[in-house]
Amino acid sequence: MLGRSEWLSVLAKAPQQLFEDLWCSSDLDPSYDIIRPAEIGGIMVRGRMGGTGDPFNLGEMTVSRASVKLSCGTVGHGYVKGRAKTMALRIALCDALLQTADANKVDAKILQPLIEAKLTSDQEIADKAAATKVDFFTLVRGE
Amino acid sequence: MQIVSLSGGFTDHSKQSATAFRLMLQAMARPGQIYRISGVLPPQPMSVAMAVILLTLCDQDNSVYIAPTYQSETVEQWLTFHTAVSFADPQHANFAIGSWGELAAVDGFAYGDDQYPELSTTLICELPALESGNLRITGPGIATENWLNLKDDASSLRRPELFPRGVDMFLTAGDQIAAIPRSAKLEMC
Repeated sequence: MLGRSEWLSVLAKAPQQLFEDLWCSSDLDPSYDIIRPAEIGGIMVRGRMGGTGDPFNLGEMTVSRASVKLSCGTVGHGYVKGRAKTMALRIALCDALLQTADANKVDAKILQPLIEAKLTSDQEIADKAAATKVDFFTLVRGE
Repeated sequence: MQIVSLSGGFTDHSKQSATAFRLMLQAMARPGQIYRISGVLPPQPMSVAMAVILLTLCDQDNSVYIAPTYQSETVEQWLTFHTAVSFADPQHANFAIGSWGELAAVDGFAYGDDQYPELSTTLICELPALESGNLRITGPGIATENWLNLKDDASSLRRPELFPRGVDMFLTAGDQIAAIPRSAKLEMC
């Protein structure tokens, strides 16, 4: 079972269509109150020079966010890239449910498929990049 | 960590905060006139009017001083969630909230400097009720005079002798607000 910042990371980067399909087929339907209605705004993404050095501003990114409270009082926050108000609300619900006894159900029906899908797409990108690697057999590689 | 209630913020932020801002501007422009603002349900002991002012004006670039009887983890977390405001001591805060008596007892706020007199603390003082009373208010924005039910002329709080430095204040009670900018003249009658 993932930690909270890990599951929020998986949800925040989820592809919209896939998340929607997983949500609709999961039959999750908790009762909740909205404490922050879904809103769209911008954040500044920061990186570090060379990956480990001084921070710098990489650029702005659109983010949608929402916060909900389940009837048991648990609060969930949803953040997602892009313009996706409904998805932000549903992610907030997932975040809340993952703090309750329903955690395993959300993990199985939503988190695990998302993680698998990301691994598959990362692997595809890596494979495509590897296919462009050229092996020089007349030169000794520097590695 | 206790479960803190974060509900009660604006439901339609852009419209409600714009409406509130307009009424707050009117209150500052017509010192002593009482207006009603709403849209927010804050945790105790903040009043609706006090919380609307904070949610409309505060963001991550501001700081607020919270007087002792208003200070609690609940209030701090609620404000942090809805505004990302930070917390400071009275000499450095952009805003200060508390009851009238508590804020009057504070040693000193930020009064601005001669080049930037607006860099002062804006006080949000809670009263049990807001209505006409024995304090006479005159000055810019008032045709003749206005009256409010304050108990004293607050000269030790407002520091009128420092003008143009000084503080401006919102007075709140329930969902009512009135405002007294530093340009107003107060006299007990």
